[in-house]
Amino acid sequence: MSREDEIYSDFKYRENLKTDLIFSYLFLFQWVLGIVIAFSVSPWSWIGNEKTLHVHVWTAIFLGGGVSLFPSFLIWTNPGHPMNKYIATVAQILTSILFIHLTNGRIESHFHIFGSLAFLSFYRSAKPILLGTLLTALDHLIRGYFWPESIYGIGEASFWRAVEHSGWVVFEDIFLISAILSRQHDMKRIAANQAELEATLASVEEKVKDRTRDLEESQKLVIEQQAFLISQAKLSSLGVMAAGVAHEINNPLAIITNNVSYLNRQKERRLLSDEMLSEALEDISVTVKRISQIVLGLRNLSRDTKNEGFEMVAFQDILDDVLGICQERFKSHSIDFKVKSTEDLQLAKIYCGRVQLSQVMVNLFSNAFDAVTNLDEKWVHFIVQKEGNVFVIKVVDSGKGIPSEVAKKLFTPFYTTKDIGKGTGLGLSLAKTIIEKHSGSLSIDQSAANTTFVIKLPAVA
Amino acid sequence: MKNQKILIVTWLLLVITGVGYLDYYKNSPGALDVSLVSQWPKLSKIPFDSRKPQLLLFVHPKCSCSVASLTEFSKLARAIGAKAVVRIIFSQPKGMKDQVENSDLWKQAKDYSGIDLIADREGGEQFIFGVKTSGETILFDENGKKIFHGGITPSRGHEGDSKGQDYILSWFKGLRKERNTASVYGCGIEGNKK
Repeated sequence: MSREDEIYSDFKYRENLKTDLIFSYLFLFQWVLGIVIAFSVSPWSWIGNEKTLHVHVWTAIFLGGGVSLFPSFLIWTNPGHPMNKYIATVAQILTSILFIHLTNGRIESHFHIFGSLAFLSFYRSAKPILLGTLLTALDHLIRGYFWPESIYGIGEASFWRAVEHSGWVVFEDIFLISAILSRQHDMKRIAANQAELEATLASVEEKVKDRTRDLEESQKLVIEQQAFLISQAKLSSLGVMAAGVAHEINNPLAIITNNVSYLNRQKERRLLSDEMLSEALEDISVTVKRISQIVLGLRNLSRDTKNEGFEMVAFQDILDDVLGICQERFKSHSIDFKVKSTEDLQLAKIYCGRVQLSQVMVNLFSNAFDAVTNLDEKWVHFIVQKEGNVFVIKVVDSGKGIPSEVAKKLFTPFYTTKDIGKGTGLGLSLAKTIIEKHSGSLSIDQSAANTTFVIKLPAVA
Repeated sequence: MKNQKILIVTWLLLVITGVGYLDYYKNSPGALDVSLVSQWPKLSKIPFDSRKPQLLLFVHPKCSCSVASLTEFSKLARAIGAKAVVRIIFSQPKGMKDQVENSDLWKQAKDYSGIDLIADREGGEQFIFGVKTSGETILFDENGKKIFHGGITPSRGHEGDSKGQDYILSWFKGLRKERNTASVYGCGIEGNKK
């Protein structure tokens, strides 16, 4: 069966179901109505002064009950069954016959036949109408032949009388069946349209699924590439830090080498004294500690921060970690680095991921270094202030600010003003993400005379 | 499925039988004995007008089937007009003395013009005229000879053309038909068990 036929069958079933239920209530109503009519029109039979319940009353109760209750029972137990409409037709015609008898052949009660046919047309099928008409015609023909008084009231009734009576029924049938056929045609058209719509929808859904699948795969690829680029950026920043560390270590190594050379020379000249040895060893010891700090700083900064928890960390500790790998670079390029703070950085603590925050600072210092290296006036200031419950940290360099159209995009991933190969464009966007994870903000102060990056972090956990 | 078919067939047989019985009841006539009277009874207290035929209808005041008889009788009276004296005699069963003139049938009959209503208070007229069933109609000519005796409805309680009406109207038109009686449908008048 095609989808169109299935939908049409479903329509017909629903019509049958709805009409079955109407008839199941109608039969009950008609049964009660019949009893009311019997009691109203002819409640008693008389013989002299003796009365008995009229045959009409018994008929209304029992024959009426039989005609009405069995079809109602069938419908309630099996609603929508194709047979129900034929049972309903027979029951409705019998009810018409009963009503005509109960009203003593009152002309108006004959209209029940016409009303019944109209109700039967709700089944949207010509068959109940034709069956009802056939039953009416047969009733008139058979009784008209064998017992004409019972139907026409006269002893001889011609065949044409049956035709005349049936003709009026056929007259109504023409209109009802035309309406039914028209409705069937509409239902078939609707079924065809719905089937087509479903097919189109299925096709569109299939295409959407394919596109979604493609999109998901592309998205997965983009995420993988993004992750790769971020790790590359981190490696690159690590590389920068490593380069910075190498630079930082060079000077202390040079100090150690110089001290060792000095001691050797003095020893060869037999001029080496205890005092000279102590001083040189002291120098070497301090320098080795310095190198340890630098290496420790790099190790701290290169730790994986994915699972880093938050803790109370002094600003000074973060600064030490960062300066460990930046300070010598600033010195060697004659960049004046100053720390300005209204707070005691040993005591001023912040609830944070120590390594993550250090990485942010390294990034900002590194950007500041790149910005001022080739300027005449070279300085970088690190400022920490407390405003209420907020720490305001500023990294200010001697640059003359960032144009507003560049500033708008600075925190956008992959945006960079540096030459190709000099930066991934992810540093500031990663820094911003880290600061926002700390419930803070990272921005550029466009109103400042010099390039000023401003970090705001809550002072309480 | 098979059980359902058996149920449906059984149901059809039962209800068709029921309708058949109803038809049979509708067309079962009441008792009618036309042999008791052939001439206007001398013992009757109903005045006899020898100038015109007399058309009489006998009804039980509570018989619901006689509503149709009354209606058909009024049509007959209108058709006949002043050619006959038209009367309706209401029986008065024992214990229903005060109920005759308050009955629905009396009120219906009162609206008919040109028809005299008589309450058979003594209860004798129905016996004198040999009437057993409500709805019996008797036509006497101006000489007192009984012309027709029977019913004027096609079946129990049903209005419509009937053999009785047809005979009476034909007689007034001067046409003579063979059978001067017709089945009568109604309740039994006092003293009769059918």
